[in-house]
Amino acid sequence: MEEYSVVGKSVERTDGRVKVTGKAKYAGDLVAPGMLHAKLLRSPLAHAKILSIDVSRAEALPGVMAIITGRDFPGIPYGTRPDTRDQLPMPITKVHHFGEGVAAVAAVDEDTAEEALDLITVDYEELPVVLTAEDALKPDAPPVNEFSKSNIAYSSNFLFGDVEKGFKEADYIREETFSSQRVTVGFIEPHACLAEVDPTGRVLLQGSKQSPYITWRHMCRGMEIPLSGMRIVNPFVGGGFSGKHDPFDVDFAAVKLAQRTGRPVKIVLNNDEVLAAYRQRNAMDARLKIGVKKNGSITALKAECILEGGPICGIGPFNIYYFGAFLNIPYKIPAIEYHGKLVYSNRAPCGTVRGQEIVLAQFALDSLIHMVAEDLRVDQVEIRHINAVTDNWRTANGMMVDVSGLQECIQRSAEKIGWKESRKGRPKGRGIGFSCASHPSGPRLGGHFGSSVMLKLVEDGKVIVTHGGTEIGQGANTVFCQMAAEVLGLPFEDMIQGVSDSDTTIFDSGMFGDRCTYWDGNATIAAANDLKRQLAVIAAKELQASPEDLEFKNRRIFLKGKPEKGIDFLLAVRRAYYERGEPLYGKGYWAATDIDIVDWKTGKGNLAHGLDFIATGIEVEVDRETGKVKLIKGVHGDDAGQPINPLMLEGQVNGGSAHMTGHALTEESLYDEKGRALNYTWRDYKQPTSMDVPEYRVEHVHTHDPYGPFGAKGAGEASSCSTLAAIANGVYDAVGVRIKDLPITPEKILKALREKEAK
Amino acid sequence: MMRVNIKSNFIVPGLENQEGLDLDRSTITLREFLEELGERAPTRVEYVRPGAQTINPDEWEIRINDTPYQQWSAGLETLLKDGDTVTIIIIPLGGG
Repeated sequence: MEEYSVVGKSVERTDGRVKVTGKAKYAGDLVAPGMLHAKLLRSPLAHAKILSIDVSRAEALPGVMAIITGRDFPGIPYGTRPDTRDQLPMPITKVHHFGEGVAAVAAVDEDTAEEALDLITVDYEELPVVLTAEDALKPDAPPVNEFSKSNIAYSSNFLFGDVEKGFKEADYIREETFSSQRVTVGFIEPHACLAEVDPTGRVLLQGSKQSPYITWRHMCRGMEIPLSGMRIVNPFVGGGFSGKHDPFDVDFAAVKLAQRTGRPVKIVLNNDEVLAAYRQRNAMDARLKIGVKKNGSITALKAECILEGGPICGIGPFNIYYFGAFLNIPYKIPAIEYHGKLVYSNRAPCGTVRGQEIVLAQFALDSLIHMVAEDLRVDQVEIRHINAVTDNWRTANGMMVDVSGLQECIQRSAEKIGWKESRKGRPKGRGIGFSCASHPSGPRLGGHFGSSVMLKLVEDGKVIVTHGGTEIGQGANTVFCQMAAEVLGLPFEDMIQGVSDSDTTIFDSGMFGDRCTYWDGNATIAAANDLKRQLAVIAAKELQASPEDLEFKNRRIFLKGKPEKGIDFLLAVRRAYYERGEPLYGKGYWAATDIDIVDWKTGKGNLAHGLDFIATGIEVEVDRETGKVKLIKGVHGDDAGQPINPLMLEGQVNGGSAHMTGHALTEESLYDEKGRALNYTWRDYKQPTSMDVPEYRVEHVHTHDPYGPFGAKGAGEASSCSTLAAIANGVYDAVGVRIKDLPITPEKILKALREKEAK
Repeated sequence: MMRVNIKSNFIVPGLENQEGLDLDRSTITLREFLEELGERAPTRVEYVRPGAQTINPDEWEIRINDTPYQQWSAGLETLLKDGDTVTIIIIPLGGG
């Protein structure tokens, strides 16, 4: 294995100190001269026609500068795909969910804006609500979205391999249903932005956005602004987890109010607003049928999935696609039939959450595998070994698994959690659950899908790293600095993280799908090599050598194998600026052009490089008296290729798992019969805290991805995909009851225990 | 009568089980053809904005007989013939 100086080291993250000392400026901290504050009036109803909105009394309130409604926008729908565009910046004819913003007020201060909201009168005509997938699919269900006559927002039907033959070859077949609840995304920083309009009409938006260029494109469309007419600057972002890709009424309203008043406008939501009315994970109903041989090897799988996604399609087609296409990993399944549907409802709009809907698919699949293994008396670890994908495996839908460390991940997680020992004996109420998962390092979409990085070498020898990816807390900035330092032979301290500003950095398709380290990382290497080439020419002249024969290390440029024959890195930099007048910029880009563009019709193709793998073992303790589940220990055997920063990678793996413990056990967004959110405060919505997290251990399984930067793969989402089933399986192992509808609450466990005892 | 074949990476709304469109005419421009597809969709689908001279590359990638439509001298007004193939690649904008 190659020895690196900076890569592979747990260096301190570039943003660590400013964050922990409270000095980092998030969108809510921003101020601008003459800034106004805006608030949104929200619908108290989940589904209603807007008959009229009277803002006259609010407009008359001193200090109110402007009020807008949906009618102030061009009425052009936007959305993730051009064939499913069903969202407006703010509603015009009807409201679709509780808490939807119907008007926005800009005023000299927050109190005045708040007071003005009380003076706006909205006349509604209440409509019947659609709350569940079952409601949505009834023949007489009221249509939820005005751009669609049907409540089926999107559907996919995939067929990979010969399913009929697979089931015929099976020795054993089992079919089960699974369901999952609505959960919120779970970031700490609420949505916030500051919008400004310069004298030429050009818009500057600084917001808490996960993928600012997605926001930028959607907003320019929805507001009829040319792309060059809007500049996006990213402040610090307090977590995204897939919940901050889209533009929201917050962003649209701030820009429109800034246009209207000619003054900067800031909107900062509170967490209650976010929990009630913004992105959540889809509720799921799934049915899986699996065929296996006597030894547990899978011969065929049939899966049906219905996702209830709220009143918009949004990212839903991706969710449906991911659920079906990625049933092909992490296990070798020769034939798969899949039917997926996304339906509209009058609950809060869904996006997705960390791990996309692979999380839900894997919960169902790995729970079912546990059941099958028990039926066949095959060991839980063994059945996963038997089916785990291996190097150079071509999946039934055509994905190429270049490198898989899954076998070793399974072995090491089983060893460290003490699986074998636990089969000989364990305390009453204790159990261990396993699950595996895999997540790709970013798909290939159409349009502008590449990643770009710029390095500016300053005359004091420091390098400013700027990129179009987004640092949302995952540590992307730090790993790019590590990679650039490694290539340039500089210490990490010589790297400075630049600002993400659409006027100076190159656009990126976004921070999602575990793609940033992989795609932007490769672009960073390309940019550093570009800079290196420029410096090598300068140094070669000085050393009377060929540029190709030079090596960069320890702030020196020297002949390969002869460190004494060289010059200081800084001298080469100064030669460029002072003697040649040559600026030193390195630029690099990367895109996986050799993989297939997503085929939404078939789900087939080589969809991604850098499949990262995980095997998770979680030990749980279930109190038979109360039904309460305590997580004791979690071990993740994790193959993320070459760890760039092992400590941050552990944080990602453990964080992805901890994030899902709430989904598994405590979290649920609840609604009443009229679709009104019930538990939209952090007091009532039970997200886990550090007190609920088990002792975690990450076993890094080093592999080398042939396409990844320094052999790295993406990371941070696979552990989300493996955690739900590991907990469900652990609960079963502990007390012998199987909960297939999430969350696994004490009430459900007690009920199941009582039913079991009654038999 | 003419038939225009369609290749796509998504299910074209309104043409769920079809790989082409039979039209009761002998010629049609690319613009008219895309407008026709939009009208057949059960939901609101706009391939080309009314009056636009080009298709937004952020939304769709369109080819006629495997050549990008922009390379045909008449662009959106290119006349399609019986048996021509129009490729439509959908460009999603989002991530998870």
